[in-house]
Amino acid sequence: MVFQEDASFPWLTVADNIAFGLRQIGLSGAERDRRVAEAIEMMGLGGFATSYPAQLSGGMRQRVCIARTLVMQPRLILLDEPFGALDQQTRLIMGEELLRLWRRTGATVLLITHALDEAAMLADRIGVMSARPGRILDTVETGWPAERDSRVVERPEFGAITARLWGRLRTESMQAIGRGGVA
Amino acid sequence: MKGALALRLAVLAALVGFLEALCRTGVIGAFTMQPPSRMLVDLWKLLTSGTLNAAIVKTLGNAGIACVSAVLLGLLAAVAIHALPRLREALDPLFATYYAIPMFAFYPLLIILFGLGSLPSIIIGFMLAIVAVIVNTLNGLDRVPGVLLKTARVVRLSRAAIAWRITLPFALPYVLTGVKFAVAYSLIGVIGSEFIMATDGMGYEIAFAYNNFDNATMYPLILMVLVVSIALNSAIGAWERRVLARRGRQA
Repeated sequence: MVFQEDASFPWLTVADNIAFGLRQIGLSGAERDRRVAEAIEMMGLGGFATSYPAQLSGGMRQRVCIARTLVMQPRLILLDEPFGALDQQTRLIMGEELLRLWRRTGATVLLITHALDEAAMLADRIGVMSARPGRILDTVETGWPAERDSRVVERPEFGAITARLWGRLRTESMQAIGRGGVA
Repeated sequence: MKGALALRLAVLAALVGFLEALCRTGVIGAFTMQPPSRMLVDLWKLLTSGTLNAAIVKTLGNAGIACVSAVLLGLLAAVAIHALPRLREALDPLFATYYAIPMFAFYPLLIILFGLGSLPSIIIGFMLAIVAVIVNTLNGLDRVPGVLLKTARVVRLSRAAIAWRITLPFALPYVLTGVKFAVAYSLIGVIGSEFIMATDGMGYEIAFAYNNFDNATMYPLILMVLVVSIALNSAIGAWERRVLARRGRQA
């Protein structure tokens, strides 16, 4: 589970942050160190194991939080707008990293986002949700190959997918901001 | 930062130098006050002769007991009060007015209850110190971001583990502020009550020396209390700054 806000522990080093959950389940020293080292490498945090979160950028801190989730070797990873607080370039790069990670771990990833392009680029399947009460309005299969990166935005299908998503969402959004019926 | 420190030391040195000059020139008489340099020499003699070491050990030991128990119980109390919002609501106004109580007024009562030993002065020091720890710790606990608690729930921490591994570590800089107060208050409580009524201890010795015009004992002891208090305070302050620096913040 990874949240939108920075959930790194400011009093712990990067390595200790990542090992937090493993300590809780009482994993022994050597195996814990191995998993932490692997997660640090996988998330591109090499050289920062003994740094504190305050010394890192927002994107790196979010990677620490993702690494903290990864070391638990979950089969399902829940991401609640994990890149919401990041700038657009960092978002795209983090998106690519997430795709790599997903291919390497084989875990199922459920990602909540407000960004249409993020959904269209990252997902195999997109559920469009309504405002309160939250219901699935539409399910879109993107049909991307597993080996993809942020360059899928150049493809013609990408425009078609975002257009379909927005078509579904427009009415919803209008109602959500109190203009129901006008649309 | 460096410049401010140099200036601060210069101001202190100038004040001490001024005092030294006033004493040396006789503006302040020898019966009133010793020159600061004499105090240092006398303190050295006092410590090497060992006549008052028992009193010093007793007072600092009692202050230590008062301080450590105030910090430990204060932390526990703060965690408990933080977990019980209705208790918190009831207690908050009491904490706000707590330091309006002249704690020393209870000292005679404590002597009646517990006799003229160490316990009454330890209790005074403890009572002065504990609320500072509680209030500052609560302040820190209030600032724990909600997302850290959500993370704790994801890894299924128990309530005790949340306090020990998340909220108290987060609140550490605030706790340390409380500890600084606790050090000062426990020294004030113990030494102050020894002044009022006791059979030994530094406060008793200072009062005894005062009554006997024994400036060669009184001033060195006062100096020693100052040095101990300031040394502990700066040590905790340095720890606090290191913790804050790790979090990318200035003290």
